[in-house]
Amino acid sequence: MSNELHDLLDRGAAAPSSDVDVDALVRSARGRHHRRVGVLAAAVVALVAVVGGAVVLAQPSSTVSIPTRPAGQATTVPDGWNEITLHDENLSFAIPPEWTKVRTFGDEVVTVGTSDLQRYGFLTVCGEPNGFQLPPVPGTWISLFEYRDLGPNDEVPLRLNSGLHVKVSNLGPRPADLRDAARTMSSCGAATTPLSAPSVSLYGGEYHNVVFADAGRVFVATIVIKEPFGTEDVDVAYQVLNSLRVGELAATVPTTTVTGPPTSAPQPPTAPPTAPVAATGDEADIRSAFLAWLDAQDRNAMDGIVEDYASIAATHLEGMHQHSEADLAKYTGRVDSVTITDSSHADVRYTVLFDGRPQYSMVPGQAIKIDGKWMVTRDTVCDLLKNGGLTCPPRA
Amino acid sequence: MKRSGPLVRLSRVEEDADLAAFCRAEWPRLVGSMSLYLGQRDLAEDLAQETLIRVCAKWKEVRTTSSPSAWAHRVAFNLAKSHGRRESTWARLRVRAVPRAEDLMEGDTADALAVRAAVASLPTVQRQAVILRYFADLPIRDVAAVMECPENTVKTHVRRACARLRVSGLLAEGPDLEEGVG
Repeated sequence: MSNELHDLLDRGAAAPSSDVDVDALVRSARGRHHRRVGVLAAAVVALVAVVGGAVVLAQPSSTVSIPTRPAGQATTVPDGWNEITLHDENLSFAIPPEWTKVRTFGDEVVTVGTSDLQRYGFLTVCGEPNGFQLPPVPGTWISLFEYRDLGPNDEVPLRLNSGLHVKVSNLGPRPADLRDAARTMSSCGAATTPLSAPSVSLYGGEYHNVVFADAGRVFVATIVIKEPFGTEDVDVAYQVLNSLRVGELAATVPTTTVTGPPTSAPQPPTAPPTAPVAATGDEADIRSAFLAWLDAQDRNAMDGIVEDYASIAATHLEGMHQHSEADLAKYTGRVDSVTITDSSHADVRYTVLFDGRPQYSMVPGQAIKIDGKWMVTRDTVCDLLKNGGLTCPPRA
Repeated sequence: MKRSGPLVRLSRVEEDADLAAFCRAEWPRLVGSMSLYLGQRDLAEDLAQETLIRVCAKWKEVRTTSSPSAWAHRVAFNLAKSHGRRESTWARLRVRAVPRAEDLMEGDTADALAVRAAVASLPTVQRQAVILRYFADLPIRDVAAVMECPENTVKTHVRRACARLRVSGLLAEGPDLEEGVG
C-alpha cells in the first residue's frame, strides 16, 4: 500500500526542468549575506571621498630606519600548504592547497589566489577602470608589489585607493600580523540576484592595501576578495600574507634601507629630551590624551589635549567643518601602542575608526609632556589635517 | 577550541562537498513536493531554489540538525504557504480540480494530471502530510516536526488522505497504511 501511494505521487510530481546549479545557489546566499556590508561600505566610500580621499600619514622625516627581519622568522607554515619560493626576489610564502600562483601583471612581484586568471590589469573588485581587472569568478587574490627606489620622504605608491598615504620614513617594524600594518580597505556594493536568474552575480567584494617593510624592503600587498563569504576568506588571505618570508636583497640591489640609528622627530625647545623612562601612569595619560583628541566632539576641549592648540584651532575647526555632525559623531579612535622615548616624549600608533571600523590603521603620532601633562603634539594633529588639504600655520 | 588554518579550510571543503551533495539530492525532491502541493512546476522550482539558497546560507546549522531534509521541506512548505497568502487567487487555484493551461507541465500525461488533480483536491494539511510522508519519504517523526503537530495527527491526516484518494479511484482499496492508525 505504501509503495502504491509512493508510486502514485511519483507519477504526479514534476521533475525539475534542469539540474540544480549549486554554485549559483551558494553565490546567491553569499550575496545576501554581504548586501548589508555593501551598503555600509558605500557609505564609508562616500565619506572617504568627502574627506578628500586621504588621511595623510606624513611626519617629520629626518630619518629612516627600516628594521630588517631575517627570512624564516615569519609565521609557521600550516600543514598541507604549498610553499612558493621566488629565489630571485628572495621571497617565499605559503598558500593553501586550493590556491595557485597566478599570472602577474605590470610590476607585480607575484600574485597568488584561488584561481589563475588571464591578466589585463591590476586586480580590483570595484568597477573596472582602465588598467584594472575585475576577476570573472569569486575568489581571493593577493598581489605583492615591491618598491626599491623610494627615498625616505617618498610616499609608498598604491594601485588601489589613493586615500592611504604612507611615507617610507613612517614604516615601522613589520608586525607579526599584517592586519596591524598600515593598511586601508574598502568594499564595493551588492545587489540582489533575481531568483529567476541565480547565475547572474552582481555582488562586489572587498580589497585591502597593506603597506609594510621587511628586511629593509618596502612592500605593498593588495588583497582582492570577490564575493567574500564571511570572515574566513579574509582570515585565510592574511594567513597567506603573514606566511611571507623576506630575505635581504644582495648589496648591489638598490633598496630603501638607510642605515644608522633611528632618531626622534625634531623636538620643540620647550621639552628637551632626557633619558628614556617608562611609567605605566604616563602611558595611561598618553592614551587618554590621544583618545580625547580622536573621540572628542567638543571642539572647545582641545586646549588641554593638543600641544599649542590655539595656534592651530582655526585650521582644526576648518577640518571639522568638512564633515557633517552625523559623520563626525561616527569617528572614534584607538591607541595601538605607546613607546615612551624619554621623560617628555613618546611615539604613539593610533587607528582612526569610522563607525567602529578601522579606516586607517597604525598611524604614527607623538605625545609630548608639557608642564607635567601629556598632550598630543601639534605636528600629529597637523599631519592628520593634511587629509583635507589643510596646512597648519608655521610655529610661532 | 577555535579551529584555524588548514583545519578551517579542510572543514570548509568537506562542508562544501556535503552541501553540494545535499542540494543535488534534495532538488528533485523539493521540486516534486512543491509541484504536488502547488500544482505548478515553475513556482515549485522557484520555491525549491529559494529553499536551497536558505540551506546554503545556513548550512553549518542545517547540517547538524537531525534531518536536514526535513529542515529543507519545512522551509519549502513555509515559503509555499507565505506565497499562497500573498497571492489572492492562490486559494482558488488550490481547489481547482482541472488545471489551467499554464499549469500544465511539459511531458504531462493524463495520469499525471489526474494524480495532481486528486492531490490538489485534498485539504491542505492532508496534502502536506501525504506528500512529506510518501513522496519526500520523511519518517513520521520528521513529518510531525515539519507540520508542528503530534505524530498521531500526522497519521490521521495520512489515513484520511488515503481514503480520499481511494474514492478518486487512483488508489486501490486495501488495508490501511502502517502509519494509518490513530
